[in-house]
Amino acid sequence: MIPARRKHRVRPLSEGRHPEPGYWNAAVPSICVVPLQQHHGSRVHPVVAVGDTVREGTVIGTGTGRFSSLVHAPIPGKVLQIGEIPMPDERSSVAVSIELAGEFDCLGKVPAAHPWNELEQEEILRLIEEGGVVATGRGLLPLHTLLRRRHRENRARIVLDVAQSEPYVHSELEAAIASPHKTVEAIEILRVALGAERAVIAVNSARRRRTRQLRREAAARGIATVRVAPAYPADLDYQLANAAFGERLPARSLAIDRGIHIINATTAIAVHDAVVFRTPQIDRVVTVAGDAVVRPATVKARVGTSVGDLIDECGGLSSRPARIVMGGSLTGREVTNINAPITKGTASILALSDSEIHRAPALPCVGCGACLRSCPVSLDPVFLVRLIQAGAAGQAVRAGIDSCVECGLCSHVCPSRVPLTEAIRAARAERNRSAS
Amino acid sequence: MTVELYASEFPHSYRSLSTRGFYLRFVVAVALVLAASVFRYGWNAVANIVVAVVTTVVLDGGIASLSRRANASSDVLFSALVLCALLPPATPWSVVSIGCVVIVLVGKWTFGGVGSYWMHPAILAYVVIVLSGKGAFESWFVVPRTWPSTAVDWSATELINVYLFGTVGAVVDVGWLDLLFGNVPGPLGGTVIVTLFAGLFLMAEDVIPATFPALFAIGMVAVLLLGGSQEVFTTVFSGQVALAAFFLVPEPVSRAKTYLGLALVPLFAGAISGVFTLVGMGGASPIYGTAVVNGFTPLIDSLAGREYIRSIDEIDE
Ligand code: SF4
Ligand code: SF4
Repeated sequence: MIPARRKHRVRPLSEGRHPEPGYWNAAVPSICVVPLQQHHGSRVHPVVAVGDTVREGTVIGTGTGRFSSLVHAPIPGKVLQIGEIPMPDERSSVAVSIELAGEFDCLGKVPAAHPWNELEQEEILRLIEEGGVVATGRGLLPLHTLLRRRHRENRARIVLDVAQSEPYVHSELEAAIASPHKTVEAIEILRVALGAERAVIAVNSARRRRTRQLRREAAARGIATVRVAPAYPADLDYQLANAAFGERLPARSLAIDRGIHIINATTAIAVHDAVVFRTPQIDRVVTVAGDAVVRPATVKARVGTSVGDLIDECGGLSSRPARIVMGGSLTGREVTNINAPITKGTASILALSDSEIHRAPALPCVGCGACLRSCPVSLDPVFLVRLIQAGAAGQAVRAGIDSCVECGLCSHVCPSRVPLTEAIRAARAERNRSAS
Repeated sequence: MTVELYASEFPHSYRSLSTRGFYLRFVVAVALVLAASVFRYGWNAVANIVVAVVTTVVLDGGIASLSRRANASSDVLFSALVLCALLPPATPWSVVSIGCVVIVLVGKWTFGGVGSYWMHPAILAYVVIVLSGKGAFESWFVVPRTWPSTAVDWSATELINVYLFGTVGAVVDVGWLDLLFGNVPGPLGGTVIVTLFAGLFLMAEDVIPATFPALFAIGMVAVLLLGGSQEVFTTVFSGQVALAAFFLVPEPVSRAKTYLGLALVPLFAGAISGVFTLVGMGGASPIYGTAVVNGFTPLIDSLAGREYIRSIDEIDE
């Protein structure tokens, strides 16, 4: 039987030195390597050739089908190379390498604002699609596909997720704080696009003071704000659906199944820019943190900027990092090549020192129960792993393996360093492979 | 579907507390308690501690290297030191070493090594020692050197009887300060105030939750009050209660796994210890009470709706 969800009690996790508040625009790199597969969905093919000249925002990749997303040139210049590169999430992608040259069309210019109030629903969705907006943080699916999904009751509602609870990652918060007006206007646009009656902003209760302006702007437009606990994870679908609308999601169901669209702040801002300024999603707000970074900070960088360039932007490395991670310290992916480019979905780059990782030799489970108590969806991770090791797939499904949200918390708290999340993830991937 | 575990890919940072660190903190805490006992009981205490450490480390290390299994000796080292603290000060070192052999061989390795046992090895060894020589056991209590010097007027023989019949404070005039400072005959680790400090250290280090000792005390006090005991205060301020609350109930491997279990186990352990005190089982009641509940912890966990499996052999697909 899948256990019922209970109140999740986990203290805020440690996250080293805090990045300084706010963000700045990172230097534009002289070469951008733009992966075309920045979303989950249909394969994207290049529509440019080596030697072509592209402008800032020119479409360089396109796919077919509902789950495709356009990719645009983040910088003006010349296409140097097109080739396959490995991505941190174990997939590979065709990437277009662009050498900076020529004039910027957006950078340094005040973009013309287009009125959107008169636009039809479908028109807004088309602009979002043309802007190549990807739902960062929610499966990295093309946003227009998610927004086009209609529900039986058709009672769409929106939660703007500024809570972002994973340690070290502050990009959503900083993006929303820096552009409260854009963020709130984006909610209005999305309301029209979805025909949504209600919209709510979810903020971390520990960041009340910093989100004051955002909350004020929202209140002025009749958008309520809810606070979520400063714990990890605090912005899972069932947590936000409950906090925002008091709705209890059954195990394994997603908020979108109930018509609740959870949109990250950076996605909302990309929607605003695509609809109001008609500019595509070519940059990303990224937190660069970790004790090995000289000046932990949040920066706005062009998609395709390398991890190394972003670390340099923040003063470089103060010590040899034990691990460089793209994404959060619990769910991110290790980067083995400092030239790896950031994508629309990169929320953070972490250069973690040895003292932050807390490595320890792996030992057998001591049965302390920490994993069991930390699981936000009330699973018993060590029990699941024992079932997996015994090859008892059916029992693992009955014990709720499909409810796992791969938050990494069970592995994080395990004093014996039992690779719990990894085993669960591997088992599910194995099952999906054999099913397909 | 069989999946091999592989080296950790993510998460990329862990909680600072590792299993070794966990036990190391327990070892430091119980070593603190034993340091106070050296002051009180002199060389006899030192001899027993040294024998316990050497026996445990050599035997456990030998078995681990012969069986080539991952090991953390600090788990049995902790149990051995706790056993020292539970035993009377004049326990012969040979008995201590036999207790440590029980801890390592029966308590730990019979069940499969680190993390596999379901009963606190120190409790197991204590019960074995008591059952195998009850008469002799009672003669190993001695009068401690008092600290800080108080004007307690007591005779050693009387107090040993008091200890054995479980009516501390009823026969002779012993104040709670004397109990707090361990100025009564009791186990080697009977200096309550030092155990409290050690417990605070464990709580500050996030090794044990404060609810363990609190619920243990609540359970015990409630039962003593319900049973009409006149000696509630003095009974709860004994060395055995402090040792049980901080070193027996919260032992990481044998403790409860579920939230419900974490609340019920210390509460039940305290309550049963109270019952044992009321029926005259003496100063060791908290140890016996904890022993009973310790054995039933998996059952209590299963009340929380968790399937409880010990080994993968129990899984039948
Ligand atoms: S990763 Fe672990 S803690 Fe997170 S949902 Fe899955 S089993 Fe639970
Ligand atoms: S946290 Fe680790 S050691 Fe503790 S019960 Fe879970 S798997 Fe076992």
